[in-house]
Amino acid sequence: MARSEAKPSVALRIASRAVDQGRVQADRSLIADFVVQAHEHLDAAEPLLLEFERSGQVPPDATNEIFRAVHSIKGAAGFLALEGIAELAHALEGVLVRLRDAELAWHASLADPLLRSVDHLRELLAGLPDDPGGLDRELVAQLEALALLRDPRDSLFADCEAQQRRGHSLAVVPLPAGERLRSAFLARLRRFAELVREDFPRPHQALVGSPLELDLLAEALGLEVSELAGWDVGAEAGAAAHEPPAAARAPDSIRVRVELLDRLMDLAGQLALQRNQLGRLAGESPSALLHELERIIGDLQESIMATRLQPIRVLFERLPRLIRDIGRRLGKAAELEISGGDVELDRSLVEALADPLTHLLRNALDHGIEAAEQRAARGKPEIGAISLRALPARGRVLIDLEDDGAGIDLARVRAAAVERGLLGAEQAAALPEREALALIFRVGISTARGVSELSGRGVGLDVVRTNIERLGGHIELESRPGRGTRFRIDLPLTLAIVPALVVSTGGERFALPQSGVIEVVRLGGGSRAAERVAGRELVRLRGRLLPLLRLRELLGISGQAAPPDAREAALVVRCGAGCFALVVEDLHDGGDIVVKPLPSFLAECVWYSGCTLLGDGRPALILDPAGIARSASLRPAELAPDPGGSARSAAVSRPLVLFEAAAGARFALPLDALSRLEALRPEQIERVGEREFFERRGRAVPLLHLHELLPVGAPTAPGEELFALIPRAQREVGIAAARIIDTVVSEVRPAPEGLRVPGIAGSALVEQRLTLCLDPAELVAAADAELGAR
Amino acid sequence: MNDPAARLYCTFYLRDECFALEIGSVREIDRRVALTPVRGAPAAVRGLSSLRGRIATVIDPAVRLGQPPCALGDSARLIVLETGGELVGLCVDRVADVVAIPDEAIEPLPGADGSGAGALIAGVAWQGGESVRVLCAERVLAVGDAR
Repeated sequence: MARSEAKPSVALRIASRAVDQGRVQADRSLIADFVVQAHEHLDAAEPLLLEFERSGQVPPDATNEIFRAVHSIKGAAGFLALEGIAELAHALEGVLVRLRDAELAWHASLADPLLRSVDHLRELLAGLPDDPGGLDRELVAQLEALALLRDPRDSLFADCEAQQRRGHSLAVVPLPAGERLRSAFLARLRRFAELVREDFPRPHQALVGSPLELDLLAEALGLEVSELAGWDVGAEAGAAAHEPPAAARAPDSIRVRVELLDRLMDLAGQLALQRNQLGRLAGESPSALLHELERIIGDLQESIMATRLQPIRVLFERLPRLIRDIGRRLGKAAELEISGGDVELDRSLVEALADPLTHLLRNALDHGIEAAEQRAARGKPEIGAISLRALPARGRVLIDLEDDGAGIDLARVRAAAVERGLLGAEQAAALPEREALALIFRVGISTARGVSELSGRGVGLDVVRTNIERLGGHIELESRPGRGTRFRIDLPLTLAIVPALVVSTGGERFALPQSGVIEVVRLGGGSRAAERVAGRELVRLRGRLLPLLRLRELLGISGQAAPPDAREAALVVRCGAGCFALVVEDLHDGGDIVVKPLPSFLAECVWYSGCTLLGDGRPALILDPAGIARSASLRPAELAPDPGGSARSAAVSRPLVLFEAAAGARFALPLDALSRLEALRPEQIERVGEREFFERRGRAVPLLHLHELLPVGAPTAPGEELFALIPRAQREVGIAAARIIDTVVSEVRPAPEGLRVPGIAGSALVEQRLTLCLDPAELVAAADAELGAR
Repeated sequence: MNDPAARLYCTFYLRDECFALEIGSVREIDRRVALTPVRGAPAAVRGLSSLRGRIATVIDPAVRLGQPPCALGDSARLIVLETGGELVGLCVDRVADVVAIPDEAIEPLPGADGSGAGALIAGVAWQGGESVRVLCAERVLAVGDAR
């Protein structure tokens, strides 16, 4: 839109131009003073305008006072080269001067634009000194138009009101400059709009009234909607006046602190709980009112949940770079095609998905996509194609990752499972295709020929599966040999609310997410009686022996025990790739719970993964099966295989991460004892006295070197690479590793009593080599003792 | 009360000993609410409590001071603090008053060597003929140190 003629006076513009050169240095304190004064002027003017509106009277001294206030703002703004403010003040002054000189009669519809001008001046002032702010040109145009009016009988005014009454939008439309273009444009304009006044209020502009909405009108005229200045002079709008106009122009989105959203979430959760209580009071005949309340609370909760959603794009956008980098290292090329980035997920899920997705992508490129020559030989394009899609699906999200690579060689998966002692040869051969495919999740079997630097390094697909399941989702795959593989991740939209069971022991209640519960069984009597074998209780369930833990004993709950003959409830809970039975005594109504993080004061309580509020509003802890198994020193080898897993094997082995700590010395760490694996950069490591630390999430984490703690040789030379294996332990520590070799499944034999070295749980024979298997908790204790001894 | 160098403290009793906590760290004072005990928690953690939809960890300052735990009687209150985005309730036998104590009126504990229960007490002040132990909230909340 042309900005020109109707500008501050020439003298003023010269003054402002003179100042312009020095603007960068423009004294900030001068601007600050101006802001304070301008606010004072506006504060004085506003009540007078409101009084005009209330009384319909415009006493000349009052108009003069407002005029002077605006005039000083204009002068000072001009001097400080604050053009937007000067321009708006000038336009406002134009209306005021006519009011003061009784050239314009007061009308209710004047109140709104005048008050809006005051508000807009405040907004512009608020951005100073750094942000001069965007001038609302529509408002300026409107003020300029008002300055042309004389009284409510002014024909322009009447025309505008007539348009308004017909429900037409009023708009100031820019006109083309040339004569011929202009008449053609006006002809078109008349088809969609009624011309109220041409050349209004600035040259080359027309004021029109149109039955079309502004954006449609703009489209019809071949203009951008921003080129039209919409305008509303309706008397009603003037009378309605006092919503702060700033709200009308508020942006579509605002920043909200996450903390505030969490708080809202808490309150909505609380509200839902109260509703439940109310429902219980109402008993069998809940009234329509209660149903209505329920609906509203449901909507509220959903809306608040929606505020926590984040498009998955924020995660997807990082991946093309990853593909490129991995591709370079592997000497392979692949195109990553991404779709569905708009699908929204809870922000915590988006974060938690990063690791599994990265792993799958690496896998696809490393094991899936073949080398270029091989692809050419198979008649495929040399550049591999990987596609990543997110699809919304009824309260859940599906994420598909598909490659056009070699697919998974089932024969080799079966062979590997046999090789690693997971299955007998016949069992393996008899396994249906789908279940055989799923083996790659169970055992971290790598079907790639060698363990590459990338995919073989970290933790395997079993960990991807565990991570996804921890998020309340699941993962499955399809593969066509020679054609490609597709992983499908199915996730809930949110982590914050999960279905859970409520259990109690000795009157104390706990929640357990349903995703971790395989089944609920009643014990006692017949074949389901628990038996004690070697100090460990076991229960036979459909032909399988499950270790049995009692919550009461574990947590040291005294209280009133259930009568001995009662049939106790036991949950079969999932723990890593296995399961065990947990006796809980009582089961209560389950339902959705709002998961809250465990208070930091309880960080060392291994049995819990978080806390929540139950239906009666009282807090309860959320049980963590893995933590419970650890605290009961239930070794993963003792766990029964998860019946959800496809392989059933009598010989239970455990997945291990194999790594090299010092030259030649191989160690293994149980995979489920591993919380994280990080590659360390030299600059991340700091020495404090005798100890080394590395930085992780802003905290200094001790780095343990095994040769200092165990009778093994020191590394001959510092390796080029360094990794930190961070076990799940009471305290966060990293175990230094020079090389991560693989993940394998192997039986760990406990070290004979008397020969036991603290920190070593036992040994495993892996690829015909003796490998020491670490006990992270003991290792941490040994490190502490070592430090104390020095 | 008008001493500009004085800070405001909330005073309360643990049995018959009077303690003070700077009021700046206090968010609210609640009637004692139902507690959910937490098995396996440090001894000073009495449990979890719900404060209008938020979960607060209830810590017993008496246990932190090496005294028998708070009896949680009828006059017991929770002095609610916020630390690191979490709510903490200190359970006390009785909340007394809000008083201004000038910094110079707080005398260091005689013989305090910064260890044991003495480490939690910033000093002692005299209020109305009674000695008031001024607690350091941060150290009271460091329950992990109790091991």
